[in-house]
Amino acid sequence: MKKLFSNRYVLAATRIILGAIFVYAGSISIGTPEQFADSVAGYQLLPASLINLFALALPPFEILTGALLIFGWPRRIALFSALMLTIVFIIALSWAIARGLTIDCGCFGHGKPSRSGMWISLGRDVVMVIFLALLYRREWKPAEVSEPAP
Amino acid sequence: MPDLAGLVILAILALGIGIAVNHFRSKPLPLIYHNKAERLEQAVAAISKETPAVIPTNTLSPVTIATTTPATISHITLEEIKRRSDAKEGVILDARAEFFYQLGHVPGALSLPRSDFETAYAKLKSRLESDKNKLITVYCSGSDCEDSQMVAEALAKLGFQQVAVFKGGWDEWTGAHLPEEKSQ
Repeated sequence: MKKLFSNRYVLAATRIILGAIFVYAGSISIGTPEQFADSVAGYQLLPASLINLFALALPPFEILTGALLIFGWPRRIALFSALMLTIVFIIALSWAIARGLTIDCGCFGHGKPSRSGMWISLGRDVVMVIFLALLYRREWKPAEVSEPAP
Repeated sequence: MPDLAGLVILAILALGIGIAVNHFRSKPLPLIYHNKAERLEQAVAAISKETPAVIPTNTLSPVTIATTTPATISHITLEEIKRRSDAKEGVILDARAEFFYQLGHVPGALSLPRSDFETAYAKLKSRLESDKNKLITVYCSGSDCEDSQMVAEALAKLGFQQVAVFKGGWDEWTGAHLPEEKSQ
């Protein structure tokens, strides 16, 4: 795994795939603000005065972050933003699961509320945060990145 | 920390974009969140303002009164909704989003999505309000979906007297391999 994540092309491909996921997620949510706000409200974390503002801001944030990841500039800021965003998702989902809520995650559009769906979303976010953390760490240790052997 | 500063700038930019995009929507999100039930109440209140309930009596001229106690909503089985669909009895309403209605619905059903109640009701107004005693059947996606009950209660508040909910919804209809109708 360490060797794989020292390869410049693997790093780039991973970053671009993660960026595309964020752009996709944001693009779906930005078109259905009312349903997305209902999903946000389902977590029971924010007061009514903040739910709609959050629902309006999050999809463009995902799209911007995803686009910056794809284009690779400014890379560290994009990776940090994506990492923090995914950590927030993990905390929110874990909190909802722990409270026994059955909600629609709202991650990729509007779906049926489901406990199994929540666990799947949590698992997916954990995988994403691992990759994002590895990529972000590489930004601080560029000497570890190598070209593939000829 | 520059990364944190970058995140904050991105967040502010995203909020600005989100608010700007919302401003140009045909139905902008309000500043304060209202849940589904509250939004439907607002839609019913807006419709009621335009059209006070008219209940014809045995006299020659109708008496216009404010909506009083809503009618009780009944629940019907798959067999009953199929019978009503086959006999074209009353009006069957699909409370799912328009997109899902167009993909397939109970034959003869009209679209009255909970999510766009006020606009959709305006389109069906003349057909529905010609007789507020007619049989109305509402369904949505399935037993987990609360939209059919919410739309039924909204219709009862608007003065419709015989409103029923088919709780099994589209899932039960398609599960029984019954005929589907698609929109153009």
